[in-house]
Amino acid sequence: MKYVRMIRFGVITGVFIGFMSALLFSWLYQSDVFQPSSPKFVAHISDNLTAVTISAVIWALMGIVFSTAQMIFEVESWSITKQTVLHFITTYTGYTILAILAGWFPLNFWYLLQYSLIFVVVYIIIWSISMYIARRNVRELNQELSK
Amino acid sequence: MEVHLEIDAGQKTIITYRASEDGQATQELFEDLKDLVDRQKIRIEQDGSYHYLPVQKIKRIYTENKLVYCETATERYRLKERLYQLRAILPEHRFLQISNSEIINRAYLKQFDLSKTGMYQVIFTDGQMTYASRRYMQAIKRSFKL
Repeated sequence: MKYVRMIRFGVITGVFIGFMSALLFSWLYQSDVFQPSSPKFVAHISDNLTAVTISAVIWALMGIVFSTAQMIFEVESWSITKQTVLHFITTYTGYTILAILAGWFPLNFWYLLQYSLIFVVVYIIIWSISMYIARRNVRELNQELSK
Repeated sequence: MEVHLEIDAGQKTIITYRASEDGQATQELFEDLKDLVDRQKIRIEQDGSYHYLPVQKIKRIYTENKLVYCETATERYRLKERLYQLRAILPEHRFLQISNSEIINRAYLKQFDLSKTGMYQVIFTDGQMTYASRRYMQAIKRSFKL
C-alpha cells in the first residue's frame, strides 16, 4: 500500500517540477511556444504535442526515481554510509539515464564526467554532514550520561 | 483517600496522584508510588513453567523472529507480552526504547558510540553492544534532556 502512495507522490512531484522548470526555461529562452525540453530534443520529435507527452512521461519517471530513493532512508538497520551510497546509486543511475533520454544534456564525455564529479561531491558533502550530526548526537548523549 | 481504577484501552497507562497541596507527605507517597512501579515483576517463561522477574534485573528487551525476549545480566527469557504493551507497563524514567525492536534499561547503559559506517551503537555496562535506530534518536535525545 505504501508503494502506491510512493509512486503517486513521485509522479505528481516529478510532473510538477518538470513542468515548472520547462515553463521557466521557455520564458528564459524567449520562446514563443512552450518548450518541454531542450530545442534539439523538440526538433528531433515530429510535433510539439508528442514532445510534451514524452517529456511528461519522463518527468513522472524522474519523480518516481526520487520518491523510491527516499525509501532507502527509512530502513532502520542500514548505516548512514550504506543509505547514502545506495541513494546515490539509485538517483545517479535513474536520473542520468532519464536525462539523457530526454535530451537534457549533450552526450559529451567531458560534460558527463564533470556532471558525475559534481554528483559525487554533493553526495560526499551530504554524507559528511550526516556523520557530523550523528557524532555530535553521540557526544551530547554521552555528556548527559556522565553527569 | 479514594483509590480508583480506570480501564481504558485507548489511553496511555499512567498513574496520576492528585493531591490538594504539596508537602512532605505528598512527596513521600509520590516516591513510594514511583518505587512501586520500579519494583514491578514481569512474568517470564522458563522450562515450561512461569516465574516472576523484577524489572530492575532486566538489561534489555528485544524482539527476534516475532518473539519477545528479555535479557538479564546472565539469562535470557521469553516474554508473552508484545513490546508496546511492555512499554506501557515499564517505568518510563528507567526504560528507554532505542529502536523498533528494542527497549533497554538505563541502569545498564554505559555509553553511546558511532560506528565507522554511521550506525548508532549502545554499549552496556557489561560490554555488550546493540544498535539504536536513527529514527529513535530524536526521542532518545528528548528523554535525556529531561
